[in-house]
Amino acid sequence: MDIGFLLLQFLTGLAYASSLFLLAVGLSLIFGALGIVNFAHGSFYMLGAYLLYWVVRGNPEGLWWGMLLVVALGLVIGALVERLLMRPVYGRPEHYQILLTYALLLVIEDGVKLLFGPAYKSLGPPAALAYPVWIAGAPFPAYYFVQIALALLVAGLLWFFLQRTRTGALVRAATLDREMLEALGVNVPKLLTAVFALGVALATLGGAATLPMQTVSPGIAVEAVISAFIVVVVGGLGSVWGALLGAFLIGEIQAFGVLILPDFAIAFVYLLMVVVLLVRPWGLLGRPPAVRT
Amino acid sequence: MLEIKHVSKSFFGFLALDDVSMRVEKGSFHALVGPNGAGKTTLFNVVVGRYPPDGGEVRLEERRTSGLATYRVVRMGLGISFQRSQAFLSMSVLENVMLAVLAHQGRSRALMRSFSAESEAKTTAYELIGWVGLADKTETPTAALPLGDLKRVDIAMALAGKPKLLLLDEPLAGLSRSERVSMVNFIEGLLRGLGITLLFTEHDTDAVLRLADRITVLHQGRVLAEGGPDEIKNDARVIEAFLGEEYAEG
Repeated sequence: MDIGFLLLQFLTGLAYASSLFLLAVGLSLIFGALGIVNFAHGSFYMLGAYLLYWVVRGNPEGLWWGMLLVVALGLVIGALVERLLMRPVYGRPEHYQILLTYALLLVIEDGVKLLFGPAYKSLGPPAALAYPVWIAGAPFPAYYFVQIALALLVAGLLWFFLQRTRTGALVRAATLDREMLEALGVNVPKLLTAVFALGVALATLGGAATLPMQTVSPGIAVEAVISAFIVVVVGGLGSVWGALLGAFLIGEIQAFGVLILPDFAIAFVYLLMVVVLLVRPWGLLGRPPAVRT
Repeated sequence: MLEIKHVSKSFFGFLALDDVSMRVEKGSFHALVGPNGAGKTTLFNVVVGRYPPDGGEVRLEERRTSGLATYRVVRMGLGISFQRSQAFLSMSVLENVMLAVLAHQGRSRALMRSFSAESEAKTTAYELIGWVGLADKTETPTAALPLGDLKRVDIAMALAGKPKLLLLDEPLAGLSRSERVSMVNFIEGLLRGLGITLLFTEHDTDAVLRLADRITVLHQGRVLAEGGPDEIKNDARVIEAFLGEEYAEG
């Protein structure tokens, strides 16, 4: 096993991690600020892939502006869903929210089948990127670098937004105590709509970014939401950096696990999850349940 | 400053507030007292916009606040410090107060304005922390503060919005005897000095009589009496309902 080969595996893991990060970060963001476990998160991811296919009419060259358009659509869809469906169930017991987002998962899946048909969709990367880069004598899809760059860009922008803007500071505070923020004169309902819209837009972007490398069907929603949950369980539900760390670990464990147990690499991922749940049930970068005096 | 006009509120047929009217004059310290269940908390929640009243209205400087969400009432000039501490326990004193400053400061400006004004907010936060006497504890996590200091953080956060009227819900609750004395002195010294109008509830009768210019007594959801401390402590109805004989002067 030479160093070039290990680098290749590392990059493959990184590409997978990038896609996982885009998928999971919105789930974590939404849970952090709204306290809602969004089972429909994978469905927004799947929807993003279909929306991209739809807006570019199956033409891979439209990828760039198509992704921007999908993000815009994701923001609008997210804002509408929060405003019309989520807002009435805040303050209700959690099972209302779980039932509601699960219902949304079913509705989106059937809605997509109805609108786009049950057939698989695939797009392929734009011509400029439709070639392999040779690393250590093995082909590596150039588009993977786009995914890695996109994830890094999103992580950087999120970091700037959360740590360096006033609105970001309020979002971080909303993860701690909403009542308090309201007493400080913050329009909390509007803030929550914005966070939910952002979370959904990130999911649709994640789905759209995967389309050039992966064939999609409405069924990927469920796989996606399970992967997203594994990432946030490992990283810490509610933590953006936890999603980044969780995605990275899982991506790399998958990539290197394949070398040890080719058919059961996923077992290592579950093993990681079990260990985290036993040792740090709130996730690697999550917050332990707060105790108020 | 604050006008509560004929406010009624009932829960599941239980009349918690029954035609309550009162005025808080600008610059005054106004206490709201009464036995448990008299309706103090309900009235507080109506004033801060958590409950819309069933009847009547609340006006802050002539502008109607009843029916508005809490954040809107806060933006109209109400500062709130609830009984339960509002500070974020995982953050330091400075971080808490800075957050409050930022929450109030950016409203009229661009949404995505970056923290370039962070130093400006920090200066304001340091000033507020100095006012409440915690200058030597800016970096302390609020979770590690004694209750009296935590209340001061709350008050600093409420003052960040430059409120016209400050609402304090039982500022002495949970404090020891000596902490109570220093809290009363602190409230008196700071808020009088700033010229802030204060509406507060409190069970500690000595503190109420010392702090308040005016006292409204609630009993079973109605205003039982209203007046200055001397009038109230000699009011036969109040003595019967709430104070007990010991406070009557011969």
